[in-house]
Amino acid sequence: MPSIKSTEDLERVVFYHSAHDKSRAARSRVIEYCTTLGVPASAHELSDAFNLFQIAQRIRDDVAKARKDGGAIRFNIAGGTRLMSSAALLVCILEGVPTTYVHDETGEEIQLPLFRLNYADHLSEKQKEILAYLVAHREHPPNETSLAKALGVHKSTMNHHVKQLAAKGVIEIVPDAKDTRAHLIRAAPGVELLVG
Amino acid sequence: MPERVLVSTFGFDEAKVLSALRFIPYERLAVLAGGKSMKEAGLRRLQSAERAAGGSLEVVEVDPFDFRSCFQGALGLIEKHRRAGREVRVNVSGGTKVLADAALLAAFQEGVEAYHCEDRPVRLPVLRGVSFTDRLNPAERAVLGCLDRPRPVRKIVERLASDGHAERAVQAAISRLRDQGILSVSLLRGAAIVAVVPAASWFVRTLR
Repeated sequence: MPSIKSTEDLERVVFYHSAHDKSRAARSRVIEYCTTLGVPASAHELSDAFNLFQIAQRIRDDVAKARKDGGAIRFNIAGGTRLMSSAALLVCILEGVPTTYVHDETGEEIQLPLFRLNYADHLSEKQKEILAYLVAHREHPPNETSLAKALGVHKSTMNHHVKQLAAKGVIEIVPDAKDTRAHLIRAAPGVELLVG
Repeated sequence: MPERVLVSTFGFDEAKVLSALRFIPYERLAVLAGGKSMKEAGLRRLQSAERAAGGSLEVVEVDPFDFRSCFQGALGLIEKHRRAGREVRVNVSGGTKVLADAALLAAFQEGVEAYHCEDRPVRLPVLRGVSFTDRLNPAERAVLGCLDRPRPVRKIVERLASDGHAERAVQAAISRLRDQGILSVSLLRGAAIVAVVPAASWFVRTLR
């Protein structure tokens, strides 16, 4: 509510809530308030409010859609379960969305001045391409040679990228169960949020 | 191999920290907790468990309902241990929402591994070793560095010229930081004055 009150020229409110009865009751109050103000509002119930990556993916998809529609977005991450709040902050960091917090006791709105930049831009285009490939092939991770072949780069170039990505913690190099001398490369959990 | 420090947010229940300890290797444990949590049995049980394992527990008190306090507490702990050459990991599963979120932001800002732990820890997609400040170019860092108070653009340009920053680069840096919502530019008696946006000042101090 404090964010709705403090936002100039508010065009639309989108909010997320859990399936808990209390949360549903709060949803009704927010919708009623927005209706009174004449601001369109849509509520999204998160079926599994305790799965961080699932919530983050859902929010990220919505943020991407809203951005495509051309609107300026501001996210208030103060409400919901702890996990919902963390998932929302995660998306805001990754997507560079202006984020606010509301102090529990004073009601003061605190701006978290995150850079309005895509976090994945810390990676090179080739690194993003490699991660996107690994995410798409999560079920069947490739080895370094087949990864190089699939992306049309020399083996030594791929080796350089793999080392860089492993150092950043976004890929995992695991032994190949079928060949003890070989290693497979797979995307670390949650990397979908970086390059999805 | 450097010593590993696990920084964990903590509320009243030690279970969340203990389940993280089972899965995330560490040599030192540090927790961020509110004043009330520090007097509760949960923290004492965690201290006993650490003592039994031959370790010790470092406790940093924060106001668990104040984002700035939590963020600064988390950042301080991370920086302290990194300066000592240790590898830091952050577990954001315990404590209030504010504390968990602030620790998460601090982990991203410092580029240290962050985990959320319900039954098992889930590693969050932090780019290890990559800091928010890496996105700032030298001119942007220099501009932030000299904005301890509002200053005219002309003065900033003059000051940074002596450090080898071209006027165009400084102007571009100011413009970009303004677009990021970090700086404001206002006119005062015909002069353009640059200032850190008040809401961002606590955060910007950590970026310099």
